[in-house]
Amino acid sequence: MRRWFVNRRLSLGASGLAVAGLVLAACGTGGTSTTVKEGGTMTYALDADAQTMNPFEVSDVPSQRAYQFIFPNLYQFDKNLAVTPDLADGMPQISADKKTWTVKIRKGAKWSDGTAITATDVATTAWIQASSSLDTDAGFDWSPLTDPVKGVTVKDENTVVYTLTDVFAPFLAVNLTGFIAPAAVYGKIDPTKMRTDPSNDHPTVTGGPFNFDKRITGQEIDLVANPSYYNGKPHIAKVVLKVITDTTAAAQAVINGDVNWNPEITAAAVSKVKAAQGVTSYTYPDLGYYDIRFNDRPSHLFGDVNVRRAFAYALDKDSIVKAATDGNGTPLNGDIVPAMIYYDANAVVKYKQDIPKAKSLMDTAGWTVGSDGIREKGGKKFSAKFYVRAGKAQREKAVQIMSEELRKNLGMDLQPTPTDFKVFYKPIQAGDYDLAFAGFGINPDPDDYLIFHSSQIRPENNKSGENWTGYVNPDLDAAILASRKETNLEARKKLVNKIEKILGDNVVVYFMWADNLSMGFNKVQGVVPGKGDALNYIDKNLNNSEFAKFSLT
Amino acid sequence: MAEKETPVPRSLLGGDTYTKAVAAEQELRMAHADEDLVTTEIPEGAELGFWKLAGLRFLRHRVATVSLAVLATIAVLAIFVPILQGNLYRDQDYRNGYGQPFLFHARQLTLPAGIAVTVPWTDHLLGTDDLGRDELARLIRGGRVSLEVGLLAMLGYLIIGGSLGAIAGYYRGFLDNLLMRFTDMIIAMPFILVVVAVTAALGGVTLQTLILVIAFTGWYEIGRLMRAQFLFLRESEFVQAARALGASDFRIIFRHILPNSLTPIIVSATLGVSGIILLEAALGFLGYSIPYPEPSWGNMLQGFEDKLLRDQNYLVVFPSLALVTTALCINLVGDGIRDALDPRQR
Repeated sequence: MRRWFVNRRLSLGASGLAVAGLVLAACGTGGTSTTVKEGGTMTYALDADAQTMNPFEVSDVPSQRAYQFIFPNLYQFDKNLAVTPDLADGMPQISADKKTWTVKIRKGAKWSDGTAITATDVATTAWIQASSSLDTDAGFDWSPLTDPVKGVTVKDENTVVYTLTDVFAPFLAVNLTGFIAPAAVYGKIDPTKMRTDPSNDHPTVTGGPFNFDKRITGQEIDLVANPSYYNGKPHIAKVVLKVITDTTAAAQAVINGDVNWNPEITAAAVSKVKAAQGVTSYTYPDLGYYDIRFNDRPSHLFGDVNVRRAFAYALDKDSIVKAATDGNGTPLNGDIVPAMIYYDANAVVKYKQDIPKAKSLMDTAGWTVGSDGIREKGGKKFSAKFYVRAGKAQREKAVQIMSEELRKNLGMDLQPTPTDFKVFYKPIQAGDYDLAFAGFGINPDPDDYLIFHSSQIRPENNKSGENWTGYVNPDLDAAILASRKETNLEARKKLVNKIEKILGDNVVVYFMWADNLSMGFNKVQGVVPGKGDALNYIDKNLNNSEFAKFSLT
Repeated sequence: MAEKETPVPRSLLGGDTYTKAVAAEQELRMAHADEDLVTTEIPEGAELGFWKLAGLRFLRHRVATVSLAVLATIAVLAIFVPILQGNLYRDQDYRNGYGQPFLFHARQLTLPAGIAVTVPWTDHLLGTDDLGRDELARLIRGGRVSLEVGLLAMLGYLIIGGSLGAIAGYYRGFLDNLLMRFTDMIIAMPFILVVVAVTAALGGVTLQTLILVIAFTGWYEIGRLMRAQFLFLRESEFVQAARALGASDFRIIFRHILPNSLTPIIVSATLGVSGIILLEAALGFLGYSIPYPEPSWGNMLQGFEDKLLRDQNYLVVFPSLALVTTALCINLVGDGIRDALDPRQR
């Protein structure tokens, strides 16, 4: 089970089979150096200390970046974001009715304590994730199974069988591409106490390319090469994950060579890093996006579709995105991002800035301009808090621009409210908000069930749902369910486009942009970018077997 | 009652010589105090003489006088200019951010007599920020926030710290102990964490909460100073005389002790204002001051590394200069006041 998050993890679906079938073998050019140096220490920049190294508890990016080195994945993504086996031996066997998935585990793989990695470990990992008593902030969605326990069975030491209630096209990409943890360790921890288990700081048994060595809280996490790694011993002997919270300092560090790998270079420093001698950098579209989540419930300010459309017509999205991201963002009109094969810039509804139209839509909705320039209706002012995460410069900038534009052009009084991450989602999850700037990480294959299907509306229909908008539309629900069952890529693309059109027509949310991220390497070889320099696959635990191929120069 | 006498922390009074000098001054006034009680009327001239003299001494302190003039100019600008400028501080031109400062272009002006002249002109003297907002207008409006926070939070310090310190110092004993332990608790409180917690609980900061939080967590220095003054003065002979004559606690506190304890408090309060302004800047820099679009010198410095990386140094230099100038001027004025009120100079 894979988790995705930018500031909030969300599991969106993906038709892994379809991806695997479609992606062309790109001609790789890098990583074929004849002299591969063995040994050495690779320093990696973490922008915050890992909260935990227990993968069942990880809900933040730094922790995810830390544990990605040490736990194996069942399946993984290759450089073109196609699903390929890692710990699994070949692709899964799928029954004719597409409801039974059989996965073989490779023989000979071992944990760091020398015991074999077996089907029991794979099944136990799923059982823990699916357990309703698991105390975690991480989002694991095993709802496609008939039963969290009976739905995953160990057929023999190297075979696991998954039984699904219904056809679920993204099952491979969403559920089978995540980490596998040793049953002998994590199976013994009471799920209700998982959050506070002492081993969370120092994992004892691991099986990825590197093993845990030691940790200095707040400063660094030290890893050593796993000599018995099933994909072959890594060239690099040691990895030091150094906590550098200052993003400018982290950018400078990769320029100086103090850090060998900086996975996320701050936008302001990108041009300096690109120009630096000895640094190899890649810029590529991120698997994530930002949008404005409206509270679409009828009793709220944005409950009227005319108001939401007015919002969309009043803004010049391209210019706002350009200003907020310094040109490092691709404006979006849907939740399919350029990194995905489903991306189709022409299939979405676009709102070109048209202020007179926006004004007339507000008039239609019954909101008239008051004496202070702010619109009002029945004595109520059009006034709301515009939530945004504090300390996120690009988002704050976008929110500042938008609230000022909307005040001037449309008479909406939206007060930018920078809010600390710890409490940011409280009003939103309670349905007690009007609009918020949100960020999402996504799976390469789309599944809008969790965030847009009406059964997931929180708090009304699902207490831990991820659909905060409160938007109800039977057509949308039907299209989402149909897309989950469709395994044919072209047919699925059509359904995805239909969902995008419904979302766009009704401005269920106001899509903003997808980041273009930059990674920098200094004295590291063996890094193979995908199409358009994409390195998504070697970040955030999408594919850690690649790390074994890296070496230092 | 064998009560342990708490020693007066000399350092708080500005050193031994200063303490002696204050004591000498107080002895002098004590004589007056006794006269007051006998003649029932305070000779107004005597009080005026002290402050007038202090005023004259302050004006002789050139650096302090110049600093006061600079401060006054900043204050007048901060109070009145934003009224004239309206929304200029928040008007954006986000497509054309980072307008450089001191860029002049020729502009044709027609004088009333019909004479056309060409003058160097600039729309944004100090340039514009990342969203294309006028930097000068924001600086001036930001000054208003800084001064408002500085002065109002100091008023809070004086009210909270002053009254608690006075009560502790005057009544001593259990009450003193209780209040001082409470003070220790406040001192031990991690200020930034309190601000973050309050921000989180209230879902954002407003100017009022900022002032209240600063006032409630920073009054202890004034409190301790006030207590030291009261402990010291309550034992002085003129107070004992007043007590012997049957003066009420209220009269003793407000008539006899308070006026005599003001000197170090005034100095400390003045110097404290610059501390608060810098504190607000630090909070703003961390993103915990008033929310945008309202500028403060602190939140104008937010993301300064980004600005330096982009070589937009002026956006860091101007607010920093404003902060440094203001804090320096306040400190110099504080020094001037201390010198003026110090009787050694007489």
